[in-house]
Amino acid sequence: MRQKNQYGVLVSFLIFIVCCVLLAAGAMQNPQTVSQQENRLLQSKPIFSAESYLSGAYFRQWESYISDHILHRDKLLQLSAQIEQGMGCSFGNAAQIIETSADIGVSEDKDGAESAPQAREQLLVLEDRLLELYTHDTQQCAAYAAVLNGYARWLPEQIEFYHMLIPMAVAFSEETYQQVSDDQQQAIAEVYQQLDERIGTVDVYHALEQHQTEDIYFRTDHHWTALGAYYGAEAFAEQAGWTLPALESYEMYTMDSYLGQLALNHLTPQLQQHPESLTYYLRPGHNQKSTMYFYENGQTKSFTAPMINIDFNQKKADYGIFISGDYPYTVIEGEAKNGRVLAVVKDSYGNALIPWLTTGYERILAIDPRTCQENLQQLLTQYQVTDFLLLDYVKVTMTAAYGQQLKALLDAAG
Amino acid sequence: MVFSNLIFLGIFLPIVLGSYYLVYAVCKNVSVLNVILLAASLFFYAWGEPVWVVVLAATALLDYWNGRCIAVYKGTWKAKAALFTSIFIDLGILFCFKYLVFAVESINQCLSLALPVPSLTLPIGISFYTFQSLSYLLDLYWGKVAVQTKYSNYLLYLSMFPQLVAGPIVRYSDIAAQLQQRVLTLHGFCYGAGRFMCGLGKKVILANYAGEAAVLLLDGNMDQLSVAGAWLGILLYAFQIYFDFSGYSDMAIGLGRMFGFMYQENFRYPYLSCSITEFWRRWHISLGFFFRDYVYIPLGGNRRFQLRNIMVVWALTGLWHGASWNFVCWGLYYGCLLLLEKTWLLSFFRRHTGWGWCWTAVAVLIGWSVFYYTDLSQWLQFFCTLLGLAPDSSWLDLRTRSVLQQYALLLPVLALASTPVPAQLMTRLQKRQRLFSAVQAAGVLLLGVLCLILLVGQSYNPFLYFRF
Repeated sequence: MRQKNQYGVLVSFLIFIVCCVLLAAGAMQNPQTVSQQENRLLQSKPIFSAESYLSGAYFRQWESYISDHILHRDKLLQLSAQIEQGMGCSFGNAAQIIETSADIGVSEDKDGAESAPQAREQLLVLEDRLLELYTHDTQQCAAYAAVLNGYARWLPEQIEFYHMLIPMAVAFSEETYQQVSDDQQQAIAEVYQQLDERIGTVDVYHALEQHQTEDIYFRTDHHWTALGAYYGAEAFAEQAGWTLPALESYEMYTMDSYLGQLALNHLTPQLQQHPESLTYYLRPGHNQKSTMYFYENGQTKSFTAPMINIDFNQKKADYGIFISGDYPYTVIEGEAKNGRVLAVVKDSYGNALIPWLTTGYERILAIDPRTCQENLQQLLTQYQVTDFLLLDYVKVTMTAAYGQQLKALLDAAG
Repeated sequence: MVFSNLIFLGIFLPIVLGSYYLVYAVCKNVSVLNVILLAASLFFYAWGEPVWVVVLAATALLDYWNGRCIAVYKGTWKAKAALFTSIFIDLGILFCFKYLVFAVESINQCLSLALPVPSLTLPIGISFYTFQSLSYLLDLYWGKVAVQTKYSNYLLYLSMFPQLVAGPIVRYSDIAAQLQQRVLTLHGFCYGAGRFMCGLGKKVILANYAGEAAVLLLDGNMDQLSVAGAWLGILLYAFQIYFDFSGYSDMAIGLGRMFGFMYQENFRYPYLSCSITEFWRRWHISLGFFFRDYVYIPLGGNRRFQLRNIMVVWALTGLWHGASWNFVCWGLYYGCLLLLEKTWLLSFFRRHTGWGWCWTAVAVLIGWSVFYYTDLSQWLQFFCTLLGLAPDSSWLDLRTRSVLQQYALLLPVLALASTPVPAQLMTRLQKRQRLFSAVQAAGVLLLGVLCLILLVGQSYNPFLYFRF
């Protein structure tokens, strides 16, 4: 009798174990490399080496690999998010702070390399928008400034060097929300103070602050809008000694039903009910040609598209319409015939900014330090670069990861 | 490898359980079963510590050999020499890996020196297996246990994967007989499976989310923390550490039962305690027993120098948890509270259990705050906020309201699950056999499905006690 009563538990446990076996076995067969839902590369299959074995990395990579390649992972993630939602309830104004893995964008890593441990970040989820919260880390700010100073020492004297550190949306939100985030203005000033004096810093914080009541940031995405980028470009042009045409000289176009990466990544159902519009600006007849370079099977390949590429996501609103998104490097033909060539080492904030800069330069070379495998020295020489802009949004000073990628690009330049 | 990981649940455990029971079905030979368990345990350890598995094997060899010497030269100086050699080397290894960096840094700081700070990673579970090995040698020296004559059995005792990396600290006397002979039953397996699933649920459902919520409050900018946020944050951390550690102990006890071993309980609802004295009889019981039997009593117990003995034991208890001054303070803090209770408060709390519970709850929460903040200045700032003394701190802020909203349903579940109510409900159900079986089976399945789904959404989340 006693034994009979145990069969239920036994069967339940065995079903559980069989499910685990199937999920783990399925992971071996799952060839996915990117999680669109989380906007990150999945762990690639570990490659055995004495070094990786002795450091324990080989086994850790296997754990990540299995966990990243579970069958039906996307559906399970959604279910998991729904269960997590069920742990709470809303009392009136539903402002929530959630913690999640920090995302510095999809970046290629070498086969078998260990995915960098993801830092944690906090988001403020409101009824109709998502705000990334800033955590001020003096050490990381100093490390980031040190990398920039490395660029200043390395860059040939004749090339003008500018730097722009762009604040996150929460800096210009309501007072209550600003209080749960650290002071970005202070952090930006801290970085700027530590920079080599040859670096021309762009005061983009004040430029945006003057227009904080306008739609300078997306509600569902972490990026600035094309309008926010315009004010940034204005500040940069002033520092670089040229004048940006007035906003009125551009034609405005709007794409509806835009849902940004933050809302998509963080599975917040209420935000997915509040899509916004994505606006872009063009001077009549000046959708400049851009050439995107990328790597495939060990070869560098390229394709061309207009700098505002509305076909990027089958005519669906997507931040990727700006210079076709993040590519290792992109060459954009400018409108000016002044012999000035601007190299922009940038994160994705640069994508919305670069189209505004085409009136000031004959050519723009956009470089993404997260993916570019070229020799920076050779690129600058090949394109006869006269001006150099390094721009990031302030979140890069929260973790070491992005600074390391910037440094790696510099180290590879020799 | 952690228990709440698909490699363990979907590959390692099924292979080990399958081969173990297959061999048991074929030959019922305990030696062969021990070989399977030993191979599995060494693989399990080498997965996390591919190099330091050698230290584990060497410690086992040294102590096994000295154990034999103690048995052979019983009552002579040679036995004592063998014992002290082992104690010296075992504690020396533990010191090098766990405390050397802390010691050098402290010396540099105190004497303004610049001695080179070694960079050593702490082998997982070293504190646990070192203490297990010492308990065997001391019990052997005192004649409480018989000598183990097979090295493989001794290595198995130290390395057994269910409790290797995060306890409980299993005494040799508790499983000596089971290493030689054990019976596997369906009842034992099912009890173990159920216990394992309970532990997994505690970890994946309760501890991880309590931790996620606690971090939101405790790891932010301290200037922005409100009084309510500080109390809620430390309460959530208290739940996290309890469910994390007791969840691991449940899984260890459950796995042990599946393989035919009976481990002692390590937790008995510590948050119901009505005094600090009682709390430490219910929290990490195996560690408390270790310090009582191998440090406190040999030092003289309550017969001589009780004050000194208590403070030594609690300073060591603190240090055992981590090589940092905050852990030492944490240990001494409990030493002082225990002395206070022994001298004045205990008899009062026995008569007024409500007051006792309140005192214990507040004292334990403050204790966890010392445990949480390794930086003492940060802790001081937190403590001021906790008492409402921090300048500019509000009583309730957006962050705290947000956490309360997000985890509104989790909080009562955490509170309820830390009491014996769920277990009592199951005991009542036992009278209705069929319903009881159905609830048990459904519970195991539901927990399993829930854990699997939630595990996908959770990033790598090791057990807190791994670092000890």
